[in-house]
Amino acid sequence: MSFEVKLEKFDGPLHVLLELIQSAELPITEVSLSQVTEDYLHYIDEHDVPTSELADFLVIATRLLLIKSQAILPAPPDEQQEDASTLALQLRLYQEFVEASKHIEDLFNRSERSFERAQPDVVRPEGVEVPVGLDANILHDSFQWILRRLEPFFRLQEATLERVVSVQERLREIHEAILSKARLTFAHFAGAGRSRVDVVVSFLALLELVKQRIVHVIQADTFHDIEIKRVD
Amino acid sequence: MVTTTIEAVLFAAAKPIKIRELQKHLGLSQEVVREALDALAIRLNTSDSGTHLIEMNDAVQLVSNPELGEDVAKFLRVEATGPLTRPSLETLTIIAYRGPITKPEIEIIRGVNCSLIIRNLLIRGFVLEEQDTQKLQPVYMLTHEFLQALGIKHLRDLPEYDTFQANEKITELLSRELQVIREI
Repeated sequence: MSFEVKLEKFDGPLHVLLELIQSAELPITEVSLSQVTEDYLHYIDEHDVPTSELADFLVIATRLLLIKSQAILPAPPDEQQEDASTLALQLRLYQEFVEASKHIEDLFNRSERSFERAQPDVVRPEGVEVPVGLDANILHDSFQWILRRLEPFFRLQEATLERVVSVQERLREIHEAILSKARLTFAHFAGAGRSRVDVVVSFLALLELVKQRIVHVIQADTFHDIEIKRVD
Repeated sequence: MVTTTIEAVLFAAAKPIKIRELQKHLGLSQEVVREALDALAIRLNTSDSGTHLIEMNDAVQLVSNPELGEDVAKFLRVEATGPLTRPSLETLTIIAYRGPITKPEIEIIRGVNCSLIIRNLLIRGFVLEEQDTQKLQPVYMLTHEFLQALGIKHLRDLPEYDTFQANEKITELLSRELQVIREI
């Protein structure tokens, strides 16, 4: 019981982000998002984010890192900045709803409220009541309907899980590979045939390994391949 | 005369009644029922009337005058409900201004999984789940009970309701993000 209450009271990732930006008195822009990235990551480290919400926190963290990397690294001219503007837009809209929720809260907390007429006590007839027109086909149709509804649910679950698991997995892959080979290149992990998400995930995993001082990286020039070496 | 009949039916029914049910059972056209409901609202929704007419989700209901909320609560011995938690409040706000709305859409705006909160709101009777045959998934809207708790007659009585309801930026964000989810 207390576990559920605690879960519901936990601030969502966008709320944390909004508070960080507001406490720094910044407008919601791509620039301010990249400025608070460190603080946001720090927040995840410091707080015991419930497992059920960790995925959502990490998704936002990944998007922030992407925005930050776009701000630091020179981007090829055709590279889209779509994700950055989407997150800023999303946060601005979220802020508007937070504002609007104050109206709802005021209305809910004041004593002015209506009541509906209490339902009269109904005496239930003895025996089982079978709804009129019930037949086996209705049950069959209902079940079909439920199955159809479940499909998108499973698709979504898998997709979210995939997104979250992958950074961790890639981290391990690179780590294991570097242990056995001592020298690797980034193209080996994010080379031809990999999706954009894949490249981003590999890059994030690589950054994390650099941060942990497990590997160090050398890049000869902008857009050249990155050489990964084990720190011995 | 139709106005009085509808008033009597709504009084006897006590529950929210779908407007098309009124049409069907009273054998009246949509226009006639609409006109009668508007006339009834003008007659009832004043400080002098003990009962008021509220309307939401294409359903109407007779309820007590919100200005007298304290007295009625005392008589019914209804205790004040505790304050809403922020996640509940945010979710209710999104459903109020953008309902009927699907769970993925709510989650895009809040940026977090909302299953637990929606379930709690369903249990507390604040929101209602209906099947949307086109979207092939449930959509959520406020209940008449929650409207009563707010002490308003329609959702359009909410501050800036029209601005939010028709906000193109929100619509654009939702369709863009849902597209991303589908592509995954």
